[in-house]
Amino acid sequence: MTSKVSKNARAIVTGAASGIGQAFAIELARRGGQVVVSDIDMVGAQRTVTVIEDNGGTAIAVHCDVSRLDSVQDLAAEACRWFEGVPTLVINNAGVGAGGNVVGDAPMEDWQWTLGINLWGPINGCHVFAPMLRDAAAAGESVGIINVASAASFGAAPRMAAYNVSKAGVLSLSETLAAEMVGTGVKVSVLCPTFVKTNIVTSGRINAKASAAASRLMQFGMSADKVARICLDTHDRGGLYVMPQIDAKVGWQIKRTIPHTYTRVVGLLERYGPLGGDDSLPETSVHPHPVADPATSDKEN
Amino acid sequence: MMPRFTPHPPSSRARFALWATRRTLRPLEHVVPDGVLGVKVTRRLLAGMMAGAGTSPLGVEVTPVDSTTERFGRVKGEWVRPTTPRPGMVVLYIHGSGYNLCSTKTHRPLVSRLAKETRVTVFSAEYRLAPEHPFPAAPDDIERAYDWLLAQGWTADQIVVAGDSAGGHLTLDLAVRLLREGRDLPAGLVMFSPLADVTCSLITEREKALPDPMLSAAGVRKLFAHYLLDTDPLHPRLTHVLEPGEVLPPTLIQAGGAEFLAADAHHIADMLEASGTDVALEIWPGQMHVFQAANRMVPEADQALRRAAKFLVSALQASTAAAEAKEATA
Ligand SMILES: NC(=O)c1ccc[n+]([C@@H]2O[C@H](COP(=O)([O-])OP(=O)(O)OC[C@H]3O[C@@H](n4cnc5c(N)ncnc54)[C@H](O)[C@@H]3O)[C@@H](O)[C@H]2O)c1
Repeated sequence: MTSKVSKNARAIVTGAASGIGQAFAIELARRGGQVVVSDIDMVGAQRTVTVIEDNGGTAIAVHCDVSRLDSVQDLAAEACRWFEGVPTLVINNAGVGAGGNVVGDAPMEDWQWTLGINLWGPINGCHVFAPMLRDAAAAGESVGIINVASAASFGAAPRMAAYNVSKAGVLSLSETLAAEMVGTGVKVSVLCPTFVKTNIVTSGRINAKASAAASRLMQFGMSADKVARICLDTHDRGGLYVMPQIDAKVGWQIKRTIPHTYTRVVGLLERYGPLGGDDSLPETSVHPHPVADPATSDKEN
Repeated sequence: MMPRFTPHPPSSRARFALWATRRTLRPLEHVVPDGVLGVKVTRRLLAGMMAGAGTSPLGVEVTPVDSTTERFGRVKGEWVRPTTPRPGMVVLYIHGSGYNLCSTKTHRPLVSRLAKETRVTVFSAEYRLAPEHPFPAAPDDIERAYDWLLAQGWTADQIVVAGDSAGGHLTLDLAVRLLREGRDLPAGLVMFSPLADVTCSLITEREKALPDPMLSAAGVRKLFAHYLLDTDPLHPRLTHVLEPGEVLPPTLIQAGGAEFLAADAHHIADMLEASGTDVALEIWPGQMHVFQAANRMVPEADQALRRAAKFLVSALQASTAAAEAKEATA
């Protein structure tokens, strides 16, 4: 009953073919868990499974598109069959990067695509798994759910509206779920990292210029395995908000103390700061961004 | 028959070794300079490390060989002989190097333990290394060493070829070459942590999932650059692609689960299996690169080496028995 959720878990991780999800899956297996590695990328998912098995762990790869409820329901059925029981830990991690355009220029299909995966993914996951987890907790098991949001969920960085909105939704979903789960024994955590070294920039829909800047920032990011370890340890201790990096913590505090000033400063930084383009013209093109500016074109390949 | 391989969780000493290596060796990579100087520094470092990690057994005799003949050119290496060697059997051992580092001397403890465990005489071959000698110096030297062994009176069915890391890559290359030249194949192959993909894309993908405790994909790529120079890494003697039906001798592959070449080991095993080769793959949980050499640090080193020895001897026994039977009916 008092044992740690992350130890010997029957775990499901979405988006576990790459990046943070892959790191969660490997770390959970190292902690003795049986891990369902789910993703839309089955080659990558199988790669994660191989790494786990090579080190004596137990895992299977299961296809799941988190943006579709029926697909998440299939995942739950498949996982329960394999576990011969219900899961004890679900990590709604799958997500995509999108950005580069201001509101009004960002194509509507980018909004739909981003919200479909980043927001509807965790909604589907919570909808399907929350009842199962509640039952498992009632039966005396150590159970929990982790939703992967982002520092973007409160950061409100310009040119990332769809992403920010999706992650703010995940934060709110997690807070609500945590409130609902009080007293049930189900632990709820929401992970809000800033930059983590993963494939998110290269595999998402981010226009060329913004993606070059993001790639540069990414180099200073934390490693995915460290983020996963910190998050699981915080979750075991019952922490709701997981901010593995200091910049996220600082941003979070400032935003809560002086929200209006925060938003103005972020806007000015974007326009005149080291990352923002000094061009005051908004980007008008849709993804993939055609190479127009020779100064940025060499950074793309 | 070999007992089936059942992976066990790493021993506590192996877990400690992994933890300690990650904290001491990995940061070193940032200190060692690039280029030729870096290679020289690393050569020294590695020689010291390998001497510290493994022990040399008693009762094994080492005799250096440096022969230059018109027919074979220069063949260098050393005979490593157990006290009472089995007659009519020999191992050609190809040490690992990243194509830049190490020598028969650094690998002498590992090779001596293999000789003692198998009671089979080993010829440990020296080959030229980058940056001084890029591709194809290394595989050419190895093929010459093999031909030289045959000229000493051994036949292919009396030979097992074994190697670690880049030596595993050279083992594969030699076998593929003999096969495509229509020549007799050795009795078996043994590969410890073999390299398959010199483009390093398998290493890079693996690193993203689980970084090696000793070195980075970027570091390995720099070493290989010295070896490849302008040669296309997809050259058929660098990237080996077996067609179905191109059957190699029975092969045992061992690698560590925590190491950078684990995906390469899988790749070779999958390819050999698809071609119809009798291949066994053992990935040892939580182990590092060529952990068989580190018997002073991890108990799994001897366990794995013993399994390899058993495989090697039974492959030799099977092939010499088959050769005798063939002679009897002829
Ligand atoms: N990398 C960062 O800097 C960072 C920062 C904050 C938050 N995050 C969040 O972390 C999570 C993981 O991202 P990452 O950085 O590891 O990215 P990543 O691109 O390396 O991995 C994301 C994985 O999700 C999978 N995926 C994409 N769409 C999917 C779908 N519809 N259904 C199932 N799987 C799908 C991808 O195939 C991929 O394997 C995301 O939710 C992301 O928003 C990342």
